[in-house]
Amino acid sequence: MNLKQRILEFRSNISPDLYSPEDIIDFAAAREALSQQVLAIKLLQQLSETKFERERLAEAIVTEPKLYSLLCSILFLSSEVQLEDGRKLPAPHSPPRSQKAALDAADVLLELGIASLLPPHSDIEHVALLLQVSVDSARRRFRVDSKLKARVFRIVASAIEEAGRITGLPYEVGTSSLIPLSVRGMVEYTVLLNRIPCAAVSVTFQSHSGGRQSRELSSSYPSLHRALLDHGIELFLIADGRGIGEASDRVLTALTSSVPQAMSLKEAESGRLLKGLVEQSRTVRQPREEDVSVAKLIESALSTGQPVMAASLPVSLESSRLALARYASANSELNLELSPDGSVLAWRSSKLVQALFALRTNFQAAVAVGAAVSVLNGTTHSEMTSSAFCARSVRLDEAEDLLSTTVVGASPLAADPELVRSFAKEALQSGLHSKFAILIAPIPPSQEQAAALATLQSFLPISVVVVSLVELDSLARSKQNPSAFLQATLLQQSDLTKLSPFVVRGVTPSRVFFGREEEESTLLSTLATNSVALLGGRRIGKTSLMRHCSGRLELAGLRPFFGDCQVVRSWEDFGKLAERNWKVNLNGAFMPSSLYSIVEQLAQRDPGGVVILLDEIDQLLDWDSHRSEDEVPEAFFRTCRSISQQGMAQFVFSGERTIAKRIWDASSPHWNFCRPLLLRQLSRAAAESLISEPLESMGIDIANREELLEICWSRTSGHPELLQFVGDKLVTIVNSRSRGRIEVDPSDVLSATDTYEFAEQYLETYWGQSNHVERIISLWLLEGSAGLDALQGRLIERSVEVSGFEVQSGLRMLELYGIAEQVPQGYSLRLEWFRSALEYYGGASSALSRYLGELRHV
Amino acid sequence: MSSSGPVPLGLSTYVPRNFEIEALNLLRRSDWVLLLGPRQHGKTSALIRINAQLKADGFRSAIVDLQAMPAGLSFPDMLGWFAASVAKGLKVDSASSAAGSNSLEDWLAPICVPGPPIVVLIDEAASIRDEESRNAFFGQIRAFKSQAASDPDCVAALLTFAFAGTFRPETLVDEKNSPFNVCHRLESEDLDEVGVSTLASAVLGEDVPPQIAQMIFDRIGGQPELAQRLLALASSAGPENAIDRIEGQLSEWEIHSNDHLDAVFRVVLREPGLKAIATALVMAGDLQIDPANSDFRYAVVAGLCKKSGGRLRFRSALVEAVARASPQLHPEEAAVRNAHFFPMGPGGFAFMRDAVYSEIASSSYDGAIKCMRSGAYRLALAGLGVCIEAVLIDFMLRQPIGSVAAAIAASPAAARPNFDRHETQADPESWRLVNLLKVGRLVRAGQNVELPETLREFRNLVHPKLIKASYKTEEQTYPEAVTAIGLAGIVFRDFV
Repeated sequence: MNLKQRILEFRSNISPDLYSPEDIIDFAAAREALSQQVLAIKLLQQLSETKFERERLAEAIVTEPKLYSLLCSILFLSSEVQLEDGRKLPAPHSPPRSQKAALDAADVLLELGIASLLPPHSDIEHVALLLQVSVDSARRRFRVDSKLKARVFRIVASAIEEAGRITGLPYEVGTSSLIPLSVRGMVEYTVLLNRIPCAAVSVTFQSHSGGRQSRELSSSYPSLHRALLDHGIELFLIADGRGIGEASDRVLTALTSSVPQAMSLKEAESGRLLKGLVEQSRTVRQPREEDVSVAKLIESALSTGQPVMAASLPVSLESSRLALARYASANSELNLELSPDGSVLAWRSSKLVQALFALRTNFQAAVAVGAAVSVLNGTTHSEMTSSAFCARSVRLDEAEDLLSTTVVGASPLAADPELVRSFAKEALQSGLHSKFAILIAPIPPSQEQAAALATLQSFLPISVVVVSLVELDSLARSKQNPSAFLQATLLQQSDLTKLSPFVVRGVTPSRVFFGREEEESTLLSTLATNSVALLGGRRIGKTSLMRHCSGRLELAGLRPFFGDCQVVRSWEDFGKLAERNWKVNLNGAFMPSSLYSIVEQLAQRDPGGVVILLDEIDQLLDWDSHRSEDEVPEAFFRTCRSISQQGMAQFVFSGERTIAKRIWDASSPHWNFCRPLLLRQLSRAAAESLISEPLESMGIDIANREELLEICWSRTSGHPELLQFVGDKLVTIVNSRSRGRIEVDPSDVLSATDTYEFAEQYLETYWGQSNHVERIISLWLLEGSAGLDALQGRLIERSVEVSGFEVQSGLRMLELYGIAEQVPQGYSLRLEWFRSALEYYGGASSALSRYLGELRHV
Repeated sequence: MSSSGPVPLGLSTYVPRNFEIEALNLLRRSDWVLLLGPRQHGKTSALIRINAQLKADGFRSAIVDLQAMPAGLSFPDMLGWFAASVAKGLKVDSASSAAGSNSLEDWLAPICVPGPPIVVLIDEAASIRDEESRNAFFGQIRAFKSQAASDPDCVAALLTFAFAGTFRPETLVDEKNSPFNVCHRLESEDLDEVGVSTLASAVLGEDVPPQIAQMIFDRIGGQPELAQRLLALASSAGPENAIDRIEGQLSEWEIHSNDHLDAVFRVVLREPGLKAIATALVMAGDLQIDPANSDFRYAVVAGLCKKSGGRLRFRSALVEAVARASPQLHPEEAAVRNAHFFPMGPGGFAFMRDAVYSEIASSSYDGAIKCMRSGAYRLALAGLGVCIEAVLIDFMLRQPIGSVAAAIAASPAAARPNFDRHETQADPESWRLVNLLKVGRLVRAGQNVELPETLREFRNLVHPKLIKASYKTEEQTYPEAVTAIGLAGIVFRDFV
């Protein structure tokens, strides 16, 4: 295609303008603006009907300040008006506030003829709409400009993505600092290929033609093209608009001959920009020898940790700046900082890099430890004194909770198993309960040493990761997050079982507390008026929930007082607990009536309702049920009830069978005392989080995530302890593998759970507290849901004499343990894996015969 | 080599087992451990090695053997003794200002100064006899775990515990405040075939004939203590006589039992659940394990059984042979020659309220067992009679006031006791055995308790005149003595 044909083609693709009807009049915006003036319009309509009585006009102006600005806009008054006789009309945005000022303003408005402009029956809303259209007209150009910007952005983004897909090369939009300063203002986008600027996109949209526009096209853009080309950058000019279309052939010839990649919006959109960018990848540009040399000089200077000044480079200042910018861009993963004027390129942690550079030739353990602490963004907790190591205990604020403390040490010796073993011992002395320690070594361990260290990890008291000086130096020079580096290093080197966040036994710390939002909100809302009994089977998470709730209660303005009643076996024990934990004075031996005094003392401390949380209350209730105070049986629980009903304080009890029986038994004096809140398995979403989040926080990938989580769910039915068990097993499985594969997949869950050990754990967890009747019922529920009468009938048929109450109580207990749930037909089984677990013990029918046989013998 | 008590550190004949390594690794990550297993099964030897390794790792670690606690201490003194033992193990000053305190935390606070984690290995954890003290002690330890979870900087967070012994964790301590609930439960396993072979090589040298290890493993199933004893015998007998000596010893144990088997069966006899399992195993050979049933777990912990898939079997051929020959496990069986009889040991009659009658019953029973083992069957009958009488008197004394008289009054005339001039109805201690048996039946009326009258007749066999009247040699009295032991078992079962 010759130049003439190209110009013809270019002209034919020019869009005269970019207006659409919505750009001319934005009715939506106008009506939105009117909605803010509803009252003003209504008042003005009333005033026009009454021919604008002076006093009423003034009163309306004071009542609705927006009326004044509406009146001003009708009179096209945009600022304060001062008349020659000294009277003033305030600016539209400063309406008169006082009655007198309003009367003065009303006089002027009437004199200006507002009444004649708006005679009776005028449609004020319509007038206001016209005014809005008029005001909006000034925004038309902005709307088109932003439309143009958005369209160009889409064109460039799409072309970059497509060019990358076609060529397989990394295209991206880079910073404007890579463009020579003198022409930077004319460039809209800088396109990088392999992180090196390869193209610049400029945009001009000319709605008119004239001398200035012609100069731009025939002179400015060709100059820009030349300037960019000097730096290996191709100019892509998107030029459009009526002004371009009306430009003379001479001007367009000058443009297209000098800027080969000039194109209209439509052309850019139809693939011309893409084609040009793809061509850029095929244009093999040998870096200029000068550029290569300068880059070497920069690299050499930076390697020592020193900053590089543009003025120190042996090329022109402009070229030096560009070279620095080019270097920074080509090495964007490095933690470099280019000064705002582009004259200095330096490491962000310049001193640190210099120190690490110096350590290469002269390794000093103390300096290495200090440098490591800085690189890892740690804060020194304490210095440790040892003959063999220089070490510090360190807090890593950005790290996961479990990894937030460590010991960093260094030794000039090679990191062999003996050294690592003694460092682990040393690290243990820090008293910080760190799960791991970091040993800085002058040189990386050999392959053999690394293999020996990997084997050693499980025999160490804490995991020790060896970080060589080279790795530390690289980290200091890179933008990599130190926590991510640490996590990756731990994954590669450590004994993961020591870092496992899963808690198989005991109270769950907050890091693995998931779900329970519904129970928490029920608890919080109930405590306003009533006490709560948190009921649930063993290890379902009652204590964890109670401890977690304490914080929420404080946020809700309540004052929680937590009491762990595990060791409370009598009233006297409870009194000691209250004195020790809540610092109250009992003035003598504790009796249930002392609770009043305790609550009073607690209430006097701070404002807000007192909430007493008593964990594992069953033992105390057992004791209470066999004692009386002044012949009042179950005096402790009765006093709690009385305090709750008087609103002096509310209680949250947690327990199992004893409290459940007390609360559920309609004949008990405590029936209906507190609201029972059944704590059962976690929701599906929370169960998934409990497995996936701790694994992912360790950096362990989850392959076939959905399937894996489905298996976890079916194998546990959401019981938190079983989930923790499975999670811990998964960590153990990953730990046993080569560190090339740091992921778990569904087959790992199957191998962790298709075991006698898991079946034992499963049945112990769900069935551990169940009696024979409850077990028989749960086995029958395997066949399908059933009601109370049917179950009782089946038991009696098999010569097991039980009352309806016993069966009902059994069903409730099964509900409490999360084994069964109520359905319209009665009760159904919740446990998906129950039958499979029983297979490890001879199957369901064998268990059923055994329990029925034993019950008949009783 | 050592064949009794814990194996000292450094002895080359020690073969470490998986549970030891697993326990060590768990303790290193601050997980609490519950190590259960039969007596003489290497738990203490393992604890000694774990303790040494933890110290070598840099932990502060101490073993406290609760069996060594002096008897009769008050609760604060008990805590003081425990804290002093921990301090001694850690080699720190045990001086404490907590005198008189009932709080274990108070006692341990001066010891738990900041530093490396502290591991306390509690051996023979079931040794605190007083239930209240035991619950309070372990309950306070359990509370440490909760405290540490909510406040990682508290004193309790420094502490990691391991508990070892032969006990039921579900019942030793009130379950709701038991520290065992927050422990990883490990069970000491027998030596496997390779382990026995390794041990044989360590004791007898590398050229030990393989059939020695094989024979030991086949018969005792890798019980470490017994394996060591057999190998010690083989060592002293010399290569040419080793196999015969082992065979001879095994036969001797099958006939006369040994202290290890006595310890196992003593526990079995005291626990109705275990006794039922043992009886069922004698009849059926193996049993389907009942899930979440503590009896089945305890049968393994006590050394009676082992798990094999989902089934339970006798621990070894030796245990099975001894169990099959014990009428105590199946009293309904006719007396057999070479039957095994096991003492109940101290505490075997702890169900009795009167401490003196309990001691009388215990020593009479164990004395009777000794007589049985040495062929003095008439004396055994006498001892069993004393024992049964003591049990029944204690039972009568335990009944609510008036209930015994009411039971007698409510019974038909033919069933009533016939008190002679030396007996007073209101004083069961004055009653003859015949009346104790009769009234026992009346008090247990409705519970299908059938007390054998033959017991009374057997007892008469201690009177020379009556012996002479229907004379049988000592040897010929064996069936009566065996039957009497079985009948005593019925009394213990029905009058606990």
